[in-house]
Amino acid sequence: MALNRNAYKALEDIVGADNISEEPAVLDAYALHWGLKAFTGNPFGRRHEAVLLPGSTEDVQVIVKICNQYKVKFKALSTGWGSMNGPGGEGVIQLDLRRMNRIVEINEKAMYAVVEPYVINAQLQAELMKRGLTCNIISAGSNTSALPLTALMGSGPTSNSTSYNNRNILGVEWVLPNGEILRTGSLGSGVGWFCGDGPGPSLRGIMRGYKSPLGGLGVFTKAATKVYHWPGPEVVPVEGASPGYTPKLPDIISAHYITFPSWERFTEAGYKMGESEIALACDKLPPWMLALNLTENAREGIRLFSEIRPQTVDKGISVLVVIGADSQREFDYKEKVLKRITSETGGEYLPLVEEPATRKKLIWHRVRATTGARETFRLMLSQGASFGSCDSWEFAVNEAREGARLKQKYIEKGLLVDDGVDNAWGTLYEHGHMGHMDELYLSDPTDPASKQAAFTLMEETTRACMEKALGCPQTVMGDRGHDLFGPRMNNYHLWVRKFKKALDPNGVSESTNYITVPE
Amino acid sequence: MGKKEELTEIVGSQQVIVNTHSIEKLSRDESFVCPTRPAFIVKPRNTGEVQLIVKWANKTLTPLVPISSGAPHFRGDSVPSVDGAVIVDLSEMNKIMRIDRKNRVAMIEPGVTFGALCPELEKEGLRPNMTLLPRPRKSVVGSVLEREPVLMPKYHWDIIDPLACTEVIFGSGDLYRTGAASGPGTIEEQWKSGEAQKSHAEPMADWCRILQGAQGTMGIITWATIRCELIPNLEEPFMVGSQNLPSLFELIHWLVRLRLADECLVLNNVSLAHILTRQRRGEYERLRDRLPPWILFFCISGYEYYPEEKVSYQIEKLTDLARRAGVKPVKEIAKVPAQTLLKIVQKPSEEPYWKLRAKGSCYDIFCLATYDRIPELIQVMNIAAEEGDCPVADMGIYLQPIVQGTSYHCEFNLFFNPANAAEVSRLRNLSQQAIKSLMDNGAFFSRPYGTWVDVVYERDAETASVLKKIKAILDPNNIMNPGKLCF
Ligand SMILES: Cc1cc2nc3c(=O)[nH]c(=O)nc-3n(C[C@H](O)[C@H](O)[C@H](O)COP(=O)(O)OP(=O)(O)OC[C@H]3O[C@@H](n4cnc5c(N)ncnc54)[C@H](O)[C@@H]3O)c2cc1C
Repeated sequence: MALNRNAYKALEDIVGADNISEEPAVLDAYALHWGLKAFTGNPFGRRHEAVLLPGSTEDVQVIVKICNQYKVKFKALSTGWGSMNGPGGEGVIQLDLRRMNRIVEINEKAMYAVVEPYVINAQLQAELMKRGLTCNIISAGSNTSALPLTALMGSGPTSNSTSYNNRNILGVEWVLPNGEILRTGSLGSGVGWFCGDGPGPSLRGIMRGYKSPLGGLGVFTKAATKVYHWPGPEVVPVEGASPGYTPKLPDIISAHYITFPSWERFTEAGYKMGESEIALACDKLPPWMLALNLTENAREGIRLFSEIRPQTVDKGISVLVVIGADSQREFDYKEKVLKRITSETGGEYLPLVEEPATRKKLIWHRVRATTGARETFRLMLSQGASFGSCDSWEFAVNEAREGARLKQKYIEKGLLVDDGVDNAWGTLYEHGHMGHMDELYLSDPTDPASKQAAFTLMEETTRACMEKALGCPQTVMGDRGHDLFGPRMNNYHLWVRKFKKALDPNGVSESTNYITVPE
Repeated sequence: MGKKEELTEIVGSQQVIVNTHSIEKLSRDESFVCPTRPAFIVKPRNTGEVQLIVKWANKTLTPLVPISSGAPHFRGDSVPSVDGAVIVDLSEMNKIMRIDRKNRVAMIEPGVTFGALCPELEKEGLRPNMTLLPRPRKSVVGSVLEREPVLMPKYHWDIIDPLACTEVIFGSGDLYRTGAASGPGTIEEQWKSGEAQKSHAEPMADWCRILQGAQGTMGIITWATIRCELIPNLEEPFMVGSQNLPSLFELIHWLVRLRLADECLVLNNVSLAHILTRQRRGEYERLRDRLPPWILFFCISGYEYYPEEKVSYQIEKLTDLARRAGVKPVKEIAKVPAQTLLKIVQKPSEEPYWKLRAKGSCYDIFCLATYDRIPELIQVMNIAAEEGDCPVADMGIYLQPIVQGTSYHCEFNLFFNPANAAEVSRLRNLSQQAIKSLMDNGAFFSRPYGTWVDVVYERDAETASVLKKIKAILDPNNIMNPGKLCF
């Protein structure tokens, strides 16, 4: 379905002929989503009708108004790491926001940064580090948008000390689906970005939940995000070539990989580490991912995994703790507390990570979040994820436990990859106030039995969430998922549909991955 | 059947209050909003009754005004804006339903006051992130719903804190549980799976944020979970006296950024003197005049593991930071030990409530701003006070870093004698004038009350427009506290 010529012309008038295209080759480039092949056998998703590169909020606003006028659907794209920015049906244009790539402000003393959608986390973090600051970066990678409104969930390796996206948002500039611009909180009163709430009730309440709206509720054109102290140097020189480089980090930033003898001891240790506030990161990086993180190719990764398996998988449950300090005394204190907690809970440090070079490499990978894809997709197998809602640390651990329990039989039958069974990634949030966990599993997309096992496991974990009160899984997106979980959760889906309808009366903000409102 | 009889059917005759004295008391408060008599006061005892009341109000189109705290009220939000309203007094829903030490959270009904909660938390080694000296009968749920600033900015990760989940009856009459409490599973099933109702967000919305700052216009909360913090094993409180706010802000920035301080706040000499003195003649003035203009108060704490060592390295760091900021932390100012102040601010105010002791009443003007705008805002208030013939020397100021230091709650306390008509009239004028000038100089009124509302929403029409759409969804008949905010 080609775009109405008048609509095309109106859109072209806004962005200029150089910034709009409906060339099949260009559209195919946008339809290519590397993750899709594993699931559908075809790396190409649906085509958009046209792709536009707006250059400013004003451009976006006029485009959205034109879309309302011609009843054309639009979908924003910031950094395009997932396939969620693809269209769910015909008649959708893509707004690729790559020209909106400025760090608008870093307010060092008020601890926030204001970014446009195509500022990536690596870029923002590098600028922040020059000022002794850092930001939360999702595990997907530092190549993703620094706007805290694109990532599905928004948790990352350092969320223990840097919280997660939903709780880091301050003022936001938001082009609503009807083309009006909403500026939240202090921004709306014209006094700056420092607060995203009010006057009166906070519209952050409908902007997102623990998941982001995945393009279904207008376009976020700028946002302020809270930033945090970085105890390391302003610039970290690295030696060697990617991916094998080693950073020069001071010795008062350290890491330990600790394995605990049982889930109970692991849980207890998490609470203790949270309460004692010693960790920059307290990141449940499972041994499988650790091995892939530290190696340069898949073969090496598998070899390393089998090497560390007896000390990790066979002994219990592991966590990576990164400690950062501003002084030797602070560092010594934190190390001493960690040792004490480890001994109280029967944990053991993994010798591999005690080696200085390995340790530094690992710290850098985690703080920069540079190895998400390596840890999950390097084998070119299909990776699935289950669970992933957040609440207390114990709840998060129970998600991982249930995930491992359900998965085990498929690994024993050889249908899923033997990743050590417990391959849950997760983290403490805010020094143990909350926790997040998602269980990952790997299937072989070329083997129908393996694919089927992954599918069945997904169904089982979804059922477990409902039957065992284990939250709404992160994979729940779009009408089907919400219609399944909504009735078990106060009919939240019906309320969301009401405000979606109120904000998007013409249904033009394409929302297949969010929720749609029946005509 | 009349309205009274219908309400009696829901809650019983004892729980419907019609006596003139009680009605009269709730028809006004300490603020300058127009007195309006409610028709009745109804006191539900459980969620079921609250839901029936809201459904009844929808049927009869009766305005409802929820209140949780005991008197005195200060901001006009609990005084009906329209005739014929029913006050839903939740003070008898006062159960502490659960205290979960491991997950640092308490589940409480709206009638639970700071006075009731603090000792129960203490038994478990917990404490709330306190607001500054709340009156003992202040509802904890009421306080968090109003986004009152808390004393420990390092635990204030998000402005919603320490509020986590809620159970609410929306204005539509629907019962909803926000955040993790939404399910799947009953609350008991959630406890079994380890959930502690700590996450305020649901998958696609964060309704709790809509309930906060709403002044009861969206629904009635029947319980909430509140994030708590640990009671330290060792506390070292400090004070820094100064003429110079920017140097205090510099130190505060580092105290919060490096997570060195638990409690951390700034008071001017007036507010601190009011807090520390009783009614004895002359005592307040003497202390006020002995104190430096600004007093930063903060506490460095150690917890379970090696508390002395932790406090010691933190103090070493503090000494360095203070030197760089050009200020000197001390243990006592004007013979007021920091330890005394610590003990005072960790509890609710003693009776009589500290803001009422001196002159009988107090009018607060408060806003949010970044640190760099505050000196200007103070200047603006001083000028406005002078022009309005209000004594600047007796204006209290409280500055509270919030949300990990991203901004400050900036509060001006105007103490006044409610029996003095001229004084009241001067203050009323001042409040209107000051709001506009403060806004022009970088102040954000995130919680507009009473007479400020119109000025504030005038500057942000789009927020008002979207809020109206949300209000129409949650409270389609506009029965919840009509006339407040932009509804
Ligand atoms: C290895 C791996 C690890 C992952 N780890 C995490 C993780 O730790 N945490 C996590 O949350 N997710 C994770 N994910 C899931 C997911 O891939 C990412 O959250 C998401 O793809 C991030 O994409 P992006 O930032 O590039 O945004 P995009 O792909 O550009 O957009 C994501 C969604 O947001 C919408 N959108 C983008 N920009 C805007 C805008 N300006 N206004 C309105 N809507 C917009 C898009 O339409 C799309 O639906 C992971 C994925 C992989 C493959």
